[in-house]
Amino acid sequence: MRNNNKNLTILHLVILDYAGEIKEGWKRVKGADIVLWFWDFLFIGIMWAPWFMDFAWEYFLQAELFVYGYTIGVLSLGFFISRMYPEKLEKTLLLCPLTQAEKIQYVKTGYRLKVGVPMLFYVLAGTVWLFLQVISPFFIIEIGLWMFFYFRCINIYCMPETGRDDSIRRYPVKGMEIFQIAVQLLEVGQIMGMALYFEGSRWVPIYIYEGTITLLQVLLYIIMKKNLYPIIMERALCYEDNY
Amino acid sequence: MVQLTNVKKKIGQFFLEDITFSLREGYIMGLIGENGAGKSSILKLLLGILTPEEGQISIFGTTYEENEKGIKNNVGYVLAEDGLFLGEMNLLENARLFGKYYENFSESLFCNYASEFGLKNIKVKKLSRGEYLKFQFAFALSHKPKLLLLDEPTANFDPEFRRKFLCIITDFIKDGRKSVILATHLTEDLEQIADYVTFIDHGRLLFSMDRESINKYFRMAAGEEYKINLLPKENIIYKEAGKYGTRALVKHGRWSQYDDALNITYPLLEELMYFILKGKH
Repeated sequence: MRNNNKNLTILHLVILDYAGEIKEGWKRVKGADIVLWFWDFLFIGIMWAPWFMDFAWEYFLQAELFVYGYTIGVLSLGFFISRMYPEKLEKTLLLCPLTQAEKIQYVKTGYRLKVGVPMLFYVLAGTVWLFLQVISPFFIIEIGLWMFFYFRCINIYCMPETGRDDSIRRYPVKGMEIFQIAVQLLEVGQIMGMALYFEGSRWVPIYIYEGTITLLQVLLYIIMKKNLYPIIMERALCYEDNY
Repeated sequence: MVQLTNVKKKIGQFFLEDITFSLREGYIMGLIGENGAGKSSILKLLLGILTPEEGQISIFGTTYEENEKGIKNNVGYVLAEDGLFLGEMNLLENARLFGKYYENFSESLFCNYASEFGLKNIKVKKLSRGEYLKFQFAFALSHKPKLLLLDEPTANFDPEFRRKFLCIITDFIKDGRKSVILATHLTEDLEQIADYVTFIDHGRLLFSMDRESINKYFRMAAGEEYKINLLPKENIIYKEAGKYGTRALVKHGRWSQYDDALNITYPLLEELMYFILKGKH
């Protein structure tokens, strides 16, 4: 390669690939999985439903409502980015005289961008939340971990095994998506519970509740981490079946 | 320059079986067969985007396992696939971007070819099919490859450019150090330029031979049916009765003799392909 800064070139290609993927990414968002629908539609529906709003204005801080709204915004952006897999350029790069290491670097850079951008938003948001003390630190860690898993995994388990068919997916862990939904339901329960039962003396039980969910997330991460790297590499090295 | 030895590959439900052929420097090979015969799969194997399950592929005396970068630096391609370049960028931007990866890429050479081919520097997504293939061809030539792999480009070219295309690839091999593999089911172009012909059917190799050998081993016989029927049956690959008599593709040997009333000619590649496939099916 004539260009001396290979890292920059590969990052440049990844960014270009994402830019070219916006339309495709949006199509995939529209036909996306249950987790996305849950967050973007069901959860938002619950959050902003009139009955919930009446209830929320009574028991929640206004700042908390803003924070939850912001979380959804960050998550939605993350979901959107996670659906923009750069498939077309990979095809061309496979034909270019790249070494295997450069190809792997390309794939890894793509994944890092997908995970990194939404996480960056989240970290910025988390800092504001901590500063405002509107949400418990556990909640921030828990949601952060969940986002990190999700954005890492979505890149893999949305990768079709053959023919780039979105309906064929590979999961790093069996039943992972169901587990994730369960966790989300617990989190909704947490919001409701916070308002209904823990009002007044809420922090201790909330910490226990959130701490438990966080531990579950960490456990899931440990299980999945073992599977993530081999799958990413397998995809990078044995791309031919997707071509 | 190119050597495939007993290559086997399963792609979904499709099998490539025992593909063996070779091509020396300075020659053009036509890869012929019906749609779906396996021509594009062979080109993808040669491009290293598919790997054989069995057998070996050697290009420039090395393999993809040994020197992928070295091979790809010297291979130019024109593929029928969409989405090989960034649609939102113009031709020059795309060429610059991907040209960075090739040791011998020359931007000025690309511009010369693009201009010669009548391409405007517009976004790739706005190119017509023929223009898109011309762009790929210009890009392939601009990194000075030693081997060109072309997948059915000519069907989408206008007659004028088709002629130019054939001239360019004939010139390309003139120095005796470069080669071309042109996959097509339209054999008309190959009649003019191909030195070797490799015939694939349903993933199997029917034959791979030079044009002299084809002319040595096959003849088209045309005439009245009863005269055709007098030919040794084992030599008739396939015969077909038409409005003006019967035509047959026959195996030809040094001692073959034909009735004077029969019109004996060398088969065109199209006839060869048609009659062999008919005879086989």
